[in-house]
Amino acid sequence: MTYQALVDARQTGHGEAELLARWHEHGDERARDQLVRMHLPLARKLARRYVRSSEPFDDLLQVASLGLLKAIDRFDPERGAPLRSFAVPTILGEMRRYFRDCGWSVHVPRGAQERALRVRDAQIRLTNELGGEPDVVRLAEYLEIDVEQVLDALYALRSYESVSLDAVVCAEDDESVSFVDLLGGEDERFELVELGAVAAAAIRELPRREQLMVKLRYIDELTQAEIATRVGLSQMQVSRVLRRSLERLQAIAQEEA
Amino acid sequence: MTSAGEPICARSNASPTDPNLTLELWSRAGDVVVVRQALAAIAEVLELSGPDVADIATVLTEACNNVVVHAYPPDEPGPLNVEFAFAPGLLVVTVSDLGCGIAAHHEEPRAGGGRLGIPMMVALARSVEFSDPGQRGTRVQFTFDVGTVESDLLLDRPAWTRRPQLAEDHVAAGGAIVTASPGRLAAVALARVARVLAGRARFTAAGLEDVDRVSRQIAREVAAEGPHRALTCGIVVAPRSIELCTFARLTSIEGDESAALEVSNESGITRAMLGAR
Repeated sequence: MTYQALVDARQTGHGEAELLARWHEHGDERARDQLVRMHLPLARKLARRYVRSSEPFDDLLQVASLGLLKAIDRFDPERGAPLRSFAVPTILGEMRRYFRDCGWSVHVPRGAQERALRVRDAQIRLTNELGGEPDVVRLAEYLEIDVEQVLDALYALRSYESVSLDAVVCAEDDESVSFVDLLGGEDERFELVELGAVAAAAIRELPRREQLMVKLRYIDELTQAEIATRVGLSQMQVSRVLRRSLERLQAIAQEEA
Repeated sequence: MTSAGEPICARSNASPTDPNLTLELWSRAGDVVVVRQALAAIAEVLELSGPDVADIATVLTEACNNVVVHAYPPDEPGPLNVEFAFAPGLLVVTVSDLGCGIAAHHEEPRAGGGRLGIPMMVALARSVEFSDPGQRGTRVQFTFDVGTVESDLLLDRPAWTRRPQLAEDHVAAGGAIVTASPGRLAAVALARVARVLAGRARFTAAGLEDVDRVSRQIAREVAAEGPHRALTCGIVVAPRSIELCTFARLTSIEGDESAALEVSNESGITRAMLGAR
């Protein structure tokens, strides 16, 4: 089967759904191999985004492929989304874990590393929520740390990853998707997917107002500003409540796991 | 944006004891952060270990806070100058002001109990020397052991610089003047100082990367003029924009359209104006 044929098969949906069923329900490894081959270009494309880091491309591709395998194994076709939409955050998550563990090109102290990653996440989150990149002061307020710590974190991130947030990831596709798009929105939902059924139960344990806000944000996909108008809070307050709710959900999920 | 002034040439006969990095700042709390970031640049170039940097940062923070809190009357802040000089195995840092003088600093009772004072500075530095440079102001010089200092960092011959005259007003208004050599220190130091000031002017991360790139480019241009060339750059800060004023030519970034950058050149002074994005 040529790549184009595979793409066609994927677009019709039959090929992918059938292969997934064969692997998930019957343990047909040939079906899984075929799924891997189908999506390997995607993994390669994502791995290529990190080429300017100090890691050799082979290693990056290996990590990306591992992420792809995980995505294929964990994917739930019942959710109705195509495998690709689940594979992208899974692969990126795998790569980020890899960089977190061993990929720093210069020595950055551990505490600083963690703070840098928190700043990175906040940057992505706020970019999605505000519809534009947050400034340094805003990041510091959001994370409740000093501006100086944000500056240090951003400086550390320079040496870690030279990929621009706005870099276009899938330029050769019809739709151009930037890195921010992929990391942000998908990422949050990905976390929720990982929480799985436990989260559904946990959400019911949240106070009413928080339940509503979580639903508006993650199911109805309203922006924080839109939610703020509806519930009569400031956007900053909404942001805090949501953050707290997510932390609480995570804690509940971990307890039960 | 206000004018950076006429060019003047100065400091043409430096001596080996001349500082590698000079910061001309103002006595405000935010500028202590600038000093710490400049120290981070020094640490990066000297490859200092974390604990060593933490010791030096503690001492410098204390010394600069002294200037911020005690050197000037509450409503009349004034200059805060910090110099870093490399010597074999040593880093010599001088913190000075034009304030009320050493006696006043020294006698000032340390309120709050928890604060660190002169004994702490003496304990952490290899040596501390206080001097009263004249009628006005205080000068404190610290020496720290830093292990090997690579030979290219030691100024064995005079470094010279061309200095765009930058009114004190700009420094008072949140700007700074950075003088540095050799080029590899100048690149990191200017980038780190400019990043802080840009952060204060509410730049985004992407804006900071522009500032970083242009700063390093300026340092490269100046270093390319000769081996004993120091960089002097005046940084002017306005809400959501900063301006880097130098004698660097900057031809290589004039066409850089990826940055929110405007380059102008008048009477030899290049002014690179960057927006917050």
